Amino acid sequence: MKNVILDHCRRWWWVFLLGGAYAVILGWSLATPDFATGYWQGKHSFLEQFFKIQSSMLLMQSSSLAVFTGAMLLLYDLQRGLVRVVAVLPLTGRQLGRSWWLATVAAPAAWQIAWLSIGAGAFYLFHPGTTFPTVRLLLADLLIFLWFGTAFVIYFVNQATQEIRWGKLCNFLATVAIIWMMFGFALSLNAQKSPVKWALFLGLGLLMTFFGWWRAGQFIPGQTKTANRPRARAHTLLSPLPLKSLPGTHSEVGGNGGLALLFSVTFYRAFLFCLYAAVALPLALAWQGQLDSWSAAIKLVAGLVAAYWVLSFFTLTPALRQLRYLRTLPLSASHLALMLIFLALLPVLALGALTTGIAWLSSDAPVTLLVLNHFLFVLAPASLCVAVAIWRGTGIQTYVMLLLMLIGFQSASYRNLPLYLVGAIVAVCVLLAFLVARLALRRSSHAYRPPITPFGNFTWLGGK
Amino acid sequence: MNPNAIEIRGLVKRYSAFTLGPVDLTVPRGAIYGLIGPNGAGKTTAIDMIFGLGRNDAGTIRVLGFDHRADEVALKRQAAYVNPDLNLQIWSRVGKAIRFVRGFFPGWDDAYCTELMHAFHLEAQDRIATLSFGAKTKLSLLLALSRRPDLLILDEPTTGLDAVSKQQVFSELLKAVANGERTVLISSHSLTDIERFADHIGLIKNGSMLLEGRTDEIVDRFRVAEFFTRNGAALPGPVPAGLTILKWDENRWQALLDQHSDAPAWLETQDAQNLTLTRLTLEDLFVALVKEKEPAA
Repeated sequence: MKNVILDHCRRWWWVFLLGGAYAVILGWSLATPDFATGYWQGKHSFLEQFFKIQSSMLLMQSSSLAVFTGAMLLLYDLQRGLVRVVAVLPLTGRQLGRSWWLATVAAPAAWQIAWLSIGAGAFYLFHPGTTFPTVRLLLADLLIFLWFGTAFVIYFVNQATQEIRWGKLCNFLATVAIIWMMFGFALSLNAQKSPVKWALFLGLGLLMTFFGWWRAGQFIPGQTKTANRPRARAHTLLSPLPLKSLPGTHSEVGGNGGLALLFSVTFYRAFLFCLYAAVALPLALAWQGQLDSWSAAIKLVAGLVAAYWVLSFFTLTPALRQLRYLRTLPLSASHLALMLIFLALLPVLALGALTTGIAWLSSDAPVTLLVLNHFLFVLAPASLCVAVAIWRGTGIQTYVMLLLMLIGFQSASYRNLPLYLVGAIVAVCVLLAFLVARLALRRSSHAYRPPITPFGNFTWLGGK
Repeated sequence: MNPNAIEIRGLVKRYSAFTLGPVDLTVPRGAIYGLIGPNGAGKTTAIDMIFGLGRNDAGTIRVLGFDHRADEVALKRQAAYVNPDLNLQIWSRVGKAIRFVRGFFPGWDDAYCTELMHAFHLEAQDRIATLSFGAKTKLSLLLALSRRPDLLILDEPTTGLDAVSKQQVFSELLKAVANGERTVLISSHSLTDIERFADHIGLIKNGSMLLEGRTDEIVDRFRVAEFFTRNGAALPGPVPAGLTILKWDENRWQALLDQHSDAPAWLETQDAQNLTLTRLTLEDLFVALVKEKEPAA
């Protein structure tokens, strides 16, 4: 078990290092006296502004630490074939599963908590007059641990139990976990006012974390007992021909195909995810009594545009990973580039149109303009991100770029740029994205040779 | 009409650690052309260039009379590509993948598709993620064959297939080219199959085309020559181009002999004793051409 844990840590040390650095920033922010008092509006330096945004979004940022430095790393390894390597090691399924749990939940949680405390301690050291945020720190520590534990369940329920008998129950649990993560963030904004709800959600988080530890051995792909699937069959000369295989009875593959099918599959999924994100947080805040008007809810929905962009991008990544196949179809490079960019923007556009429509009907003109501004502005980084993914593949470089663009976008969007300027920026970015994507499709071999893993064959760090 | 389905002239593609070419390659219409070579020789790179998966640094590629860049859409309407790396998992079900690809090809043959589904034991509701590696390759083949392409390019199509499935695949390929209108370019490490089914072959090594021509002519051209030298291990003078020493042990020599070269005449002048010539299979020839010569035991 020790070797499995150490192996994971050795291969992903750089992620832990980055996560630790980020945790120091969060710890520092957590210790600031004006923690969680709203976004920065004044004209201050980028760093100050960044810190302010981090502090007010602290708990969500700490959850992203768990999302990106926890079980997701193991998921990448599994997609690169780790399971076949470790399955032959002299370890039971339970030992292996628990090793992975320790490597992706306990160890990184302890690491992040340590650095979070160091960050908070550093602030206290440089500002001796302030009070050390013991309660906030403990709460953040607990949340970080639970987020790591919940992320483990979410990833592995979906990854490892697709074919098992109780797969539907597992998917339900994963859904509960995702909702818990979102609501947990929303509830954290006024934790002191609703201790019962807090206890309820923390209890659920503890349950999920314990469930992950308890059933860790079951989450190893291929270790579960599969249900009786109709796939296991062998045609022999004596076996009758299945009716659906007879000529003229090809009804299963009817309907429109081609690009229309690609659009429908990708768009509906992304739009539903975005819609869920748009509805869940306002509902959670309304439940907490923190939303008092339609316009406040609409502003909140518009404030989450970066989340819609990220969701839409992640929904598109499976299509980006099959660029090699798409390129063999009778589509020109320009057509394909345009289609992929449009696919990423369409769910955001649709949700934007819906929200703007509601804002127009239920609020005043400034709110409608604000919504329009936010939804329009996000198209710029969203289109560029697709171009980078086409150019470099859906590997780590793209994810780093996504993160940088996300920070840049968040910083810029709070400045409330005028609509004409936003329109001009979007036009330039979409055009640039199209040109880069088309050039990459025409010239680059890189885009066509990524393995079927999110981090590609990026060997100098995670791929060792 | 151009008698060749594929004409590649002076193709060069440079990577940081590898350069393909300059390569010339000619695939006649109606032929099954086997592109063979060791791992990393540049076979997939050459095939990728045909489909515009990356840009060639030099050279021209004409496929079915089309320029591979200027007429890429027209070319791809008539050509199909099969590779085990092609990822179709976004469609989740076999039926959806078929539906997606069918939408691009007006000439899609539904009846043939159904026939292939039965032959390959695939069903529309099968989950792509749970298909075996071989079944995924079969799906890829099905998607390519059902569009009835004029040119079928297959990169390692038999990887992961059992003997029966391999037989099925080649049987379908032979059916596809039976009327002489369709062309198949197949890259494979299964040299027994290539020898049996391909009427033309091209051998690539280290990014260069070593040999190209009709399979029977190429196999017939080479022999393994075994002979003895009178005076110890030394062969007097430089060995001519058509003779590749494979191994030697004291004064016993084994070499690959190109019968179309000056090497047979040269051997006679060297007083080679007990010369025996043995016919090779394509696999033996491949190994002899690709492998570095072995020193004395």
